[in-house]
Amino acid sequence: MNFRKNTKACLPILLAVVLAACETSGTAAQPEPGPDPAGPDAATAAGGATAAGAGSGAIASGTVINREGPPVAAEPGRSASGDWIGGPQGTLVIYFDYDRSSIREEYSQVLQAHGAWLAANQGQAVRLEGHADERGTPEYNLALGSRRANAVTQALTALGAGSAQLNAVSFGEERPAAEGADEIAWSQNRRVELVYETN
Amino acid sequence: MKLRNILGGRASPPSRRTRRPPPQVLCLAVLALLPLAASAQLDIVITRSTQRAIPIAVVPFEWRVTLGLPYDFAEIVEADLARTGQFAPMGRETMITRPTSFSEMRLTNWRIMDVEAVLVGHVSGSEANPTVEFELVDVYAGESLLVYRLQSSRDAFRATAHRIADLVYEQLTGARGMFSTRLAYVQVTPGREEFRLIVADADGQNPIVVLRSTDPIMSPSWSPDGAWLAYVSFEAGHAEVFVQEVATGQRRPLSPDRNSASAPAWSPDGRFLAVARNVNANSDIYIYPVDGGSPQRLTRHSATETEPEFSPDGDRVYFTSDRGIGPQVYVMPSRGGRAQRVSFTGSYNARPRLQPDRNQMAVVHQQDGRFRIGLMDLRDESLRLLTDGPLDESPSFAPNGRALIFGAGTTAGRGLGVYFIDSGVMRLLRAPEGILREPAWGPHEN
Repeated sequence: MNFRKNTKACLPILLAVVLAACETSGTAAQPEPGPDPAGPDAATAAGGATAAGAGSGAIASGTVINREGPPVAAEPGRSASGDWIGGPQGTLVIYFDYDRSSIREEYSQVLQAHGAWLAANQGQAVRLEGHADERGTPEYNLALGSRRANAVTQALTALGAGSAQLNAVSFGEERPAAEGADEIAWSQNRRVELVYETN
Repeated sequence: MKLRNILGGRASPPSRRTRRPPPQVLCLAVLALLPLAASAQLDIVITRSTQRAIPIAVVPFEWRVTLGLPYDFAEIVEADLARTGQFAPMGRETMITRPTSFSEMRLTNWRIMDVEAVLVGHVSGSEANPTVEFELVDVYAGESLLVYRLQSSRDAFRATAHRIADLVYEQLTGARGMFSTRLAYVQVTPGREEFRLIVADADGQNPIVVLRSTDPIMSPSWSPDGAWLAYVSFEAGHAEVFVQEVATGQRRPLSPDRNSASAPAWSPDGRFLAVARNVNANSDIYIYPVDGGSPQRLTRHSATETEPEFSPDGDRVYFTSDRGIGPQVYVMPSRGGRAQRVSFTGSYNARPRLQPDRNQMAVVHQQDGRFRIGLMDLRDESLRLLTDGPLDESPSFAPNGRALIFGAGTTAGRGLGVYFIDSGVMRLLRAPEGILREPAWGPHEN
């Protein structure tokens, strides 16, 4: 398909554009080894909120809206031949540096694989959940998670995914993958999770 | 009745100065583990007072009600005053007499105990609707500072005691009391299984869950009249602002669209909410009419703008922006216009909150990886760091501006930090389980 061919031809340029967005300030940011991409808390969470009054103690009409939990990531994200694979079987977590929303170079092949997979499976949608570590104010971190999710969205769009397939959302520091007040936990929490919608 | 402020610069007799015991030393200890409901908060002292505390005696009020179990109003009053670090209440066991009115007092008995003020009172009438009469006495001037009669009711004993503490506090410090106010905050249960929006009394007691969710709840904010809370809920899968009537639990989304909205802040007239709205991954400040209608975009910048806060007159909006290097506080007219940078000390100042009636602003200040609460003077831009961090956030002022509550990430533990500006006392409120965070101190309600 000619769409694919174009994508391939443009790939080096697109990647250059995506990576140019990295604000590597002088020093080459040495990425911390990313934790195992197996999704944390993969259990499906039934969402919903129930409100009550402080005065009467009466339970008010609470809205219950179901939210799908992230699906379980399968294998480390490579095929038997060692190639990065896209789609639900690929690497599903992209990690970030502190207070940064630029994508580290190590993820270029991972994102290429997802972009190509989405281009080939245009009926499939993926939710990009941006997260931040606990440092900094919760509201600022919500915006930071959004910028991270958007960085992945832009990269995937550049790599062949359609914008209708991508849904970026931020949870800020509210849903950490790891508990703990140290760099080991923080490095696992600065992330974007790719959540392929099951349909 | 004569009213006078005994702290108001009156010269103290030298004999009292020499005989005064050293300032009360509050060590890192559990001060109050009152017999309370299961979800009540634990209150510990992290930092002791740096100022001289006023020696006061709060004499147990005489119970003249014929029926019913006596209620200890004085105990609540004493605890309220002691928590601020501005008062050093005398122990009951050292009180030789327990007068119930000024006329019964022998002032020399109190002078030898180095007490400067004495609160006496009695409770009479029916048990369902008792009358509480009390009197605040200046021991050295030998006069009554305050005489009051309050009507109480069986379900409002605690509220009456807080009201008495407010009156004593105002009489002795000149600042309006903050004991009759409420707090809102978020409790996250272990494993983040449940997020609870909680409303509690200013001392952390009587916590009531007003919203439960399996999805995150953030950024509670009180309406100026204390009747409503705005907050962020993720129940729709992304951040959305809701307003909820506190008394009834009635709630509705403010921003029911696909764009995430967060960090709600009320205008002083209660008609508008400033909200950080995220459109195409760009967060800007929007002004929403509370009663519905389309939002007006206030900031137009590709950087992140969030954490808005109205000025007390409603004419300006302060907010955090990282348009420069790192987040800093900016201000602009609430009807639009040019934004000006406000904070200049260091590379990270965020989440502005204005001190009521004063030219000061609380911020989250980061330096060397430590996040601390700072108090910035808006006139000379100087910054005074109040807390040690390393992960303090979400400051919110008491309505009298004399204390602030914040999300405390201290080496001694996590919880809600309460910092009393006049004494330097910092306390930590913690739940028996889970984490308490994102507090908002409500307005005066009487």
